[in-house]
Amino acid sequence: MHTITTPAPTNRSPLPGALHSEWLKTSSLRSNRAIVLATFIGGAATSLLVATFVTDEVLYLTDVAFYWTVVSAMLAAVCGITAFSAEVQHGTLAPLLVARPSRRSLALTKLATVTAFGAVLGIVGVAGGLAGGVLGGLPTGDGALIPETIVWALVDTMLSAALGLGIAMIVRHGSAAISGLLIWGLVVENLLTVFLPASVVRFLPFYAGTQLLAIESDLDSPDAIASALGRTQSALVLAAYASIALVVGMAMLKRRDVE
Amino acid sequence: MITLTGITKRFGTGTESRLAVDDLTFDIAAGRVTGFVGPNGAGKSTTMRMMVGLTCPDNGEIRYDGVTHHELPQPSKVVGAVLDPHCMHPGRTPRQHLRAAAAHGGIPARRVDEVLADVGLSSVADRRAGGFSLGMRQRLALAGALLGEPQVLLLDEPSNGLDPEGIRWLRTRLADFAMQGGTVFISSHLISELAMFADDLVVIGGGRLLAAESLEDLTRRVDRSVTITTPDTDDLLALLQRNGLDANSAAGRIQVRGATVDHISQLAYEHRIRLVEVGEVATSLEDILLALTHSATEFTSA
Repeated sequence: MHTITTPAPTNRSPLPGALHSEWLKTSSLRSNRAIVLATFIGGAATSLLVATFVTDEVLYLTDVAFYWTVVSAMLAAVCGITAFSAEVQHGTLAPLLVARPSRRSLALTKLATVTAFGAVLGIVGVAGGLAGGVLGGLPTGDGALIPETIVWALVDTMLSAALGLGIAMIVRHGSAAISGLLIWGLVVENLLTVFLPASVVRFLPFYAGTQLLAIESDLDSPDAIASALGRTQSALVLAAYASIALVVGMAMLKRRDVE
Repeated sequence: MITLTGITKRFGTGTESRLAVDDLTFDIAAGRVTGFVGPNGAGKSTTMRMMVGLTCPDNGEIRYDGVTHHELPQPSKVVGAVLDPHCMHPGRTPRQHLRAAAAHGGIPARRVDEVLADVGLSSVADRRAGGFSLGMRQRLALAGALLGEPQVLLLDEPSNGLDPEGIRWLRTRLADFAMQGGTVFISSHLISELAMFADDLVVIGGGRLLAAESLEDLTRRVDRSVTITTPDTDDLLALLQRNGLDANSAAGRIQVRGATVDHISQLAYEHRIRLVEVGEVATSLEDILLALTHSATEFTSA
């Protein structure tokens, strides 16, 4: 008579294995390596172009090196989306949950992975920005500010990646989530900054992310400068959006059937 | 043993809702191959997805020797499932795909090469899966299911896309798995395929259980009859009926149910009745299953 025997519970946490699995998946895709490379090239090219063509004002490396971080944050959000939506699109979410049914554990490992990848994009983008600025001969400015701004740039890209993951867990459909995110970040928020009062605009997610970089711009209105939130407050605004998206996404991941 | 008790699943709400699985109760014996049969839309895939926690039943429960899938300490050591052959990223190689799956399931990395060899994909282990045929994807999906050396295999239409050699390989592989004490629960449209190696069959239609019995018991239902053409129809018919056989004639032919060709020939020979043609007709297992599921078939051709 055959029986099915239940394996004895182990004390080993499944998280290290799950994290290792996520690392293997992230590092095995050429598209991820291409995004990292493109982030470096984009950062370097932006600084170099600014150094070469903007001649009517004095710009410092401490600012210009972080221009590209706005795009890095957007890319991090897109990578946060694809980290989950690709599992749905390619049907790999089901085998993951058959092997380990805990949705919470899956969400946590995904969160750890996408925030780490967001940090990589942040640091690579800044490295490119610094390299391009140095190559273009930009004056350094107050160099002591650079380490602090790098930390805030990483906070921006990591929180953006987490926001992207949360959106993907809600929307699931990769193309819809990415196009929605890009339309919001590139079009809707820019329109809202024109039409809404500055006291409201400062609570928009990507605007708050950009505030972390403390880039001074002539385009900022006196109202915007007066009502601008500090870096910590802006980080909390972006973190709030990411947390809400993750909590809702997690609840939906638990409730919904997996195709 | 795997027990499914009162499983019910409804998709959608209000007037648009559809009852996919309706109060399904049956057992799957350990160490046997159980075929899962039903027409399109019968609820087979939904049932299998509920068995591994991907779809949440509205009612009922599924237990693996008393334990639900969610409570299993190391699920991949108990259940391996192939529910969709397309479950891999086209940008990854089989080795990368399986290494990630092994790490996720807490399975030693050495199993990756073992299962690749087992399913015959060692030679393409480092080629990206995007260009794989459906048959190769089926093999890779099976490799993923076998990774944790599970005791139970759940396979949803695993022979789709396989060539005849692949189907034979799969049949042999699953029979070996069962011989070693493994439990196989396999859905398929190819009833004749299942009949070659399944021990038990579960038949559903319209989300309801229609039959759950051994293949042997189902085969006993096969109806055999002998058809005879003779110039002496009336004499032979009378002779057969006198001998207690269930015989009747139509369109110049006699049909005898539950008799053999030998028996009929012998009777006719002894009474000097000339037979022009004698043939045995048996309803197939497929006919029996089609008859069982006929009323529950959702999609039929005109």
